[in-house]
Amino acid sequence: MGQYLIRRSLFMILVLFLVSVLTFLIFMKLPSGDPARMMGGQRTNAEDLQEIRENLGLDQPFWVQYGRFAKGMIPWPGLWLDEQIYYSYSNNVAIKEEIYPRLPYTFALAMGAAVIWLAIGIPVGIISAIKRRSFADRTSMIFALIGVSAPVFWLAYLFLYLFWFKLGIAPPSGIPSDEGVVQAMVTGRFVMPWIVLSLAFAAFYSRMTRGNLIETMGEDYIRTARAKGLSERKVIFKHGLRSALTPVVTMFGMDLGILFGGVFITETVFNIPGLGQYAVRAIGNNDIPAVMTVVTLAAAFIVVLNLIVDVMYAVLDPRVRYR
Amino acid sequence: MAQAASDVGSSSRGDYDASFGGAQAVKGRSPSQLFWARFRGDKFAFVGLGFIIILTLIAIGAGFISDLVGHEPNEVFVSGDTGMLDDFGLPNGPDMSRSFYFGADTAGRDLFVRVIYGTRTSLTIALVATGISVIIGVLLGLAAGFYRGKVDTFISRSTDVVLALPVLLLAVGLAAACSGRDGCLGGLLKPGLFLISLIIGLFSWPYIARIVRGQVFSLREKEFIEAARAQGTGDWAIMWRELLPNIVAPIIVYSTLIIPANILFEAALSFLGAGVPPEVPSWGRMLSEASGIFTTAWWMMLFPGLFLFLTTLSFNLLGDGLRDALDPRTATR
Amino acid sequence: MRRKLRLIAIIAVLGMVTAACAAADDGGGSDSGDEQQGEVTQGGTLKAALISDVADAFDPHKSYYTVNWGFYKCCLLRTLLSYNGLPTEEGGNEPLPDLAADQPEVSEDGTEWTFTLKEGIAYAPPLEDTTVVAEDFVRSFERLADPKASEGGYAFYYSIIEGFDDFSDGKADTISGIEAVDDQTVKFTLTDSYGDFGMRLAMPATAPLPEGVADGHVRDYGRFLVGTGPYMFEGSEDLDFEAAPEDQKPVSGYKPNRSITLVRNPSWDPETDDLRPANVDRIEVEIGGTEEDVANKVDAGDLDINLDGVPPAQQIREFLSDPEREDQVQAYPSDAVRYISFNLAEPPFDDINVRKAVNAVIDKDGMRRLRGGPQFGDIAGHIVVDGLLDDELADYFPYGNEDGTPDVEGAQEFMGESEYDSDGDGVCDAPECKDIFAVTDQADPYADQAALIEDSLKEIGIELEVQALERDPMYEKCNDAGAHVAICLGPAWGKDYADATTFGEPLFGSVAIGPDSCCNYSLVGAPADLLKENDYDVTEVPSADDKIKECDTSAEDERVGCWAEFDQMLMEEIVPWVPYLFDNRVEVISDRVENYTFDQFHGGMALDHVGVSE
Repeated sequence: MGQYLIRRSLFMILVLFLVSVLTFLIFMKLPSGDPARMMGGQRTNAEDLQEIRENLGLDQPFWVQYGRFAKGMIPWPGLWLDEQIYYSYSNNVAIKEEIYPRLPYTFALAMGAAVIWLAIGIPVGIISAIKRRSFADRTSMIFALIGVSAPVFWLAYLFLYLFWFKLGIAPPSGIPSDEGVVQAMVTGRFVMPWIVLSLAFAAFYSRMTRGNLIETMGEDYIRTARAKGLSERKVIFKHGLRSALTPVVTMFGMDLGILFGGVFITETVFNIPGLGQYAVRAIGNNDIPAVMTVVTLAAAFIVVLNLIVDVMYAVLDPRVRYR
Repeated sequence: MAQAASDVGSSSRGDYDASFGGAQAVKGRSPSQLFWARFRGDKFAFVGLGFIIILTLIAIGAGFISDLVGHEPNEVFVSGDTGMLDDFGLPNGPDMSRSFYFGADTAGRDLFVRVIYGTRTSLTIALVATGISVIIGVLLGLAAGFYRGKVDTFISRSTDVVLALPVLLLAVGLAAACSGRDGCLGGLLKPGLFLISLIIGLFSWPYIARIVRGQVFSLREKEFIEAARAQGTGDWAIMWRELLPNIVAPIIVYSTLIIPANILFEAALSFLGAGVPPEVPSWGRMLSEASGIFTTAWWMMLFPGLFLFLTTLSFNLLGDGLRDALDPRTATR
Repeated sequence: MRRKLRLIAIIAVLGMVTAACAAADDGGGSDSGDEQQGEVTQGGTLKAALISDVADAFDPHKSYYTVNWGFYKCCLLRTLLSYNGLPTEEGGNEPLPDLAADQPEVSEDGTEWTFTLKEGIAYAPPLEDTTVVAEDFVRSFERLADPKASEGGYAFYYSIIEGFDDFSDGKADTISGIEAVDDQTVKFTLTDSYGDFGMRLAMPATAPLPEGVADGHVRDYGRFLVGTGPYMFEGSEDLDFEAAPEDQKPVSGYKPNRSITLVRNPSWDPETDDLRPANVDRIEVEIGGTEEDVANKVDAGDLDINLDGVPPAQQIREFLSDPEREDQVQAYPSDAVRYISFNLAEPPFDDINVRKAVNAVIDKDGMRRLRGGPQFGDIAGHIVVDGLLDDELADYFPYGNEDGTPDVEGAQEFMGESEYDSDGDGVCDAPECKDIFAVTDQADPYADQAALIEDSLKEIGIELEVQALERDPMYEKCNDAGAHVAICLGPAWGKDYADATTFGEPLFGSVAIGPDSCCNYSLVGAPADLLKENDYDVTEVPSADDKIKECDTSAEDERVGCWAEFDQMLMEEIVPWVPYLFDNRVEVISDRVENYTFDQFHGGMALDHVGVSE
């Protein structure tokens, strides 16, 4: 187990390294134009540009520039998001300061939605698998189909139109600045965002759980268990579910990239002051340091979560550890 | 992207593959008539297929339709007798008498005609982006599955890296970086439909690669491959002539399942303002134009979104049908 | 007893009559402002919203943003002279004594301006024991003259002070033209007689700077502001100027991108301030959100006003069709013009006939409609806003129709004269008329307006390739001579102060060409070597420098006439722009707001004049 963990951790660091290189390339090297000018936003006088150039090390070799950029990604006090690079020249404030207050909102949105879609998606998938071709199965799969086909941003507006504008039972989009995250959850400002965000994933997970469970239940070892005389329930829960859920756990890790995309869009539509809204605005404003930060942070989060998933996976399925 | 392709249950996490796909392909391959028979019996899939055909016809005939209606997609009707904006600049809704079937948008353009033209954008993306990801995915999947060892490790790791990326953000960043007049890569990539297709394709190939790799794994050990090798056939000839024809079916199935994800991806990019250039009608962008005004101009939100939804749904129905024909166990019907 | 009662009765009746008269005026804001201050509810919290954060780090020496100016003028910073916070017709554009005890003493030749300060004006906490002295003005101007500290601002307006530029360039360590004669007396010496100097002293950058506050805060001084206005940032008393600058904590009442909270300044004495009633106790500004969100909150009464955004057209339509809510919509001229600028060195706009053709074919009424309709201003036929020209050119529409509808025939006639229309049919056929690099703002309604412009230009055969950018990058691009932007679709220009000078050199002077300078996007008067440096094939563009110089230094009573001539010359002989709208500032207020007043200086609601009812 220990060896497995070490291997996966090394891999995680590799991935992070590659992601950071990619981000660095895309945002600093790809666009045609002077990076100092890009990062500098409104600061266009020669002196400031020179200062920015020095901070970023633009006169230094490529790997030095990358090094400065990557240094800020190390979660160590003093290094983490250091102000030399991670400074928003457009707003005159360190990126750290802008990001920290936003994290709780994004976290609340993502986690709340995750809880909902797991709580709905998996049981629905299980029931559908067990009662294959029944009415329940058919209807839930129809809803699931609709869920994966409907675009998040369209659903969001439909919901807003119906439940807020026409029926008046939901609060409008946005969170007043005096409401903290917890308060916002209490006043129900997260309800529609949670529902909209979790719908697509719930649909997807229910389809997938169903598929996996059906497939697993047809496996030889299940037939053996049945032949041994175990009750159907025991068969399902003891043997079937375990291996059916492993791919779910897998997908959860893989899907984080998509989840982030969904979170960003949901935050934009519902005007939630989270990381996603910040990123989207930063891109619109060409605030390159801010965007790079969010991208790398998101990737780091994904990778770390993948690692956790890997560990859970190894716990669920011992065969993995020996590969 | 994972939504479509990987909900089939072919978990493939790094070193632990389910060769489910491979086993089935071999089983279902011999009676391809079985495949078509099953597919033909799936009514929903046919509805999906039908709608896609209609959409394709609409996309091709968009110019003809706009001539019939009498409005161009970028023609504005702002003031005077032909104007569709009131004294406050707010657009008028559906008006049959003046041939504005879906009403006007905030710039005074005919929404119906724009939605029709939007078909082109989405279907082009569907084709080109998916095409790109299939080409890359198949090549890499073949190589990984066939050569195994270091090649496989490298490709699988790359797959993992791409999957670990916050895809939307990076895509938006890429698109934004290349949206300047001079584009990027020294002017090699100009903003436009192709650039967006390329970006989308670059982020969705891992799914295809994984599937293909899994298929190749299971086929590799078969006798006919060994026979070809004994004859001294070169590696790529084997991959091209022996392996590829046997995995065409799953490739088609999973490609179809990826299409809706790619369409939604483009819509999301355009919605966030980093997609196709504004002159190109895109349902995603139309939705973002509706965002401030949907409480009064509900038509601006309803129609583009509806088309987007129905298009995605159709491809999902089609893909589901193909997949169920391939392996009926997981079918609902 | 009875006499007293009768007196009371008379006063009561008068009061009711006045109130009735005030109420009888319909909304749309031509009345307001002259209600007795005594009737306005005192206290309460005004809840405002800003869509974008205050710009320029809220540093008054850098700040070139009218929203910031609104905050400085109403609430935070008093200056030697200032304005009464009312619209033009109520004297809103006349500088009045604020920190100065009286209007200045000006020497015969107009070059020496001496001000006597009011006594005992204390700064806000934590400097409540410090009073404003003449040296504070010297300090402020020295910071203004520091190019790093005043970057992006309007320091150039003060080059007319002797020694200002020398100090700026590091050639001197004091500004010779500013003298603190004694603690209560400041004397300015100018390089020439500039009659509008008083207005320049009413700008926030000239506010006094107490000792020790700005030290070490070149970039972030805005978060350490201490002023003399009726309000201050919440938490101002906790500012610690004893600590080293990098250890000082910025004021808690301003959270960048989140909120601004202003509370009453205990040092402010209403007896010393005729200009600011300061009725509310607290001003809370939340930053962020969208215009729709804010509008909804204003509708619900959760917010009172959007300070930098525009109310959505739906809301305006809704309110104006409801007799009970129509007076919640206020519209006043903001002394700004919206326009399309040509790059005179970039084909096909190097040909004056093409520029005239475009002027005639643009649907100005449509442009206004896309912005929200007639509420949003008057059709502009020329460049300088009518309010600054005493309406001398109010009927001057050299191109297109007076109601703003396009004159396609006239446009095609102009185009036919152009070298780019080889067959003279009024439709351009040269390749220069295709794929023209155009830049616009990506916000509403510019994107929709771009569609309208593109559609209109088809009539004369011009095709644009439009790039939509965020506002600041757009201005930057249009301002960059090297960027070769042929036509800029999204700019607007407002007065800095109420003299047409501000529409002269900064827009059309050869010294104002970017990217190192600002805002002559059209490259009027660009010298040949600049054109060559920036890879232009065109070697010569018309210049307006002579006329600008003439009008800048003309006598007070001749200025308006001169600037009107200047405007006409521009429109007929140079045609650098298509001006299409003289902008109105439209604001929708909640029903809590009392005594809406339009501050003509910054062009928005005067936060120090309004009240809120609970």
